[in-house]
Amino acid sequence: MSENASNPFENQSEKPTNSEVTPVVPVNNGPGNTPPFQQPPPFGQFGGGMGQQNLPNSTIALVLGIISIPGCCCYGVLGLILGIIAWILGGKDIKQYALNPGAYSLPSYKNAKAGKICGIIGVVLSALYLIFIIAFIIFFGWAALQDPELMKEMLREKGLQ
Amino acid sequence: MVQLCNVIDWLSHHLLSCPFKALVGIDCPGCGLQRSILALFKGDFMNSFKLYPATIPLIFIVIFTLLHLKMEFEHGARLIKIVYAGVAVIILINYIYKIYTHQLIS
Repeated sequence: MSENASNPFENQSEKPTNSEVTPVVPVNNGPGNTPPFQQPPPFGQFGGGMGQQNLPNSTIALVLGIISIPGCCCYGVLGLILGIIAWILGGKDIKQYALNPGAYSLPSYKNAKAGKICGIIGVVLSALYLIFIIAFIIFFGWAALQDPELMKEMLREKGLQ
Repeated sequence: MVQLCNVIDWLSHHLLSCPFKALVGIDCPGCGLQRSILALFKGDFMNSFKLYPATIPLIFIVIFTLLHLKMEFEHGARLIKIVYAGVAVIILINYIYKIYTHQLIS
């Protein structure tokens, strides 16, 4: 500490900044040094505009989310898988954007959000359909599902048709 | 024109069969989509809507999404979300309607 107190005045006069920086950094190393590295993001918030990259998964999330609805017709499983993937990818991108809003472009963030919501809708639709199938199997039994004629008989008995 | 008719005719004989319907004999929520798209190709909007009401918004949303990814419309993402939710609701209502009117087993 005693060296530091005397050094700055001599350093400024005798040498360029090189030697002045080195003694100061180790002293402030602990908590004081980290904030400057986290501060750059607000920069981009105000600056905005060009030079921002797209979120990595936003397009895939959107496309998968939209395919998940036509996919729900195949047992509901395909739609469920695609929807969950879109949901996860979209959610990941939203988190990434929230961590560092300046670095990514706003349209891709909107796309990621839309992809996530489409994924959720696809998952819900597929899940409803799966629940319907399972309820049907429980209600009528597997044997009836294998045989359309038996199925119609049972439906007639229950007064559904 | 003749060629287009042939393509449609060929397609109508080679529709993908629904695995669920083949196994169980009940329509799934997506059944009718292919017939509906074919009706749309023939220019029969009314029939297309009757077979599967969600076809037209579904095709619209797919095309719009492709355009949106290319050109980045300002409110594109929001519009996609709204139309998509609408499509989901239409499919759900259509399926419930089918259950109530006993159209599932044919």
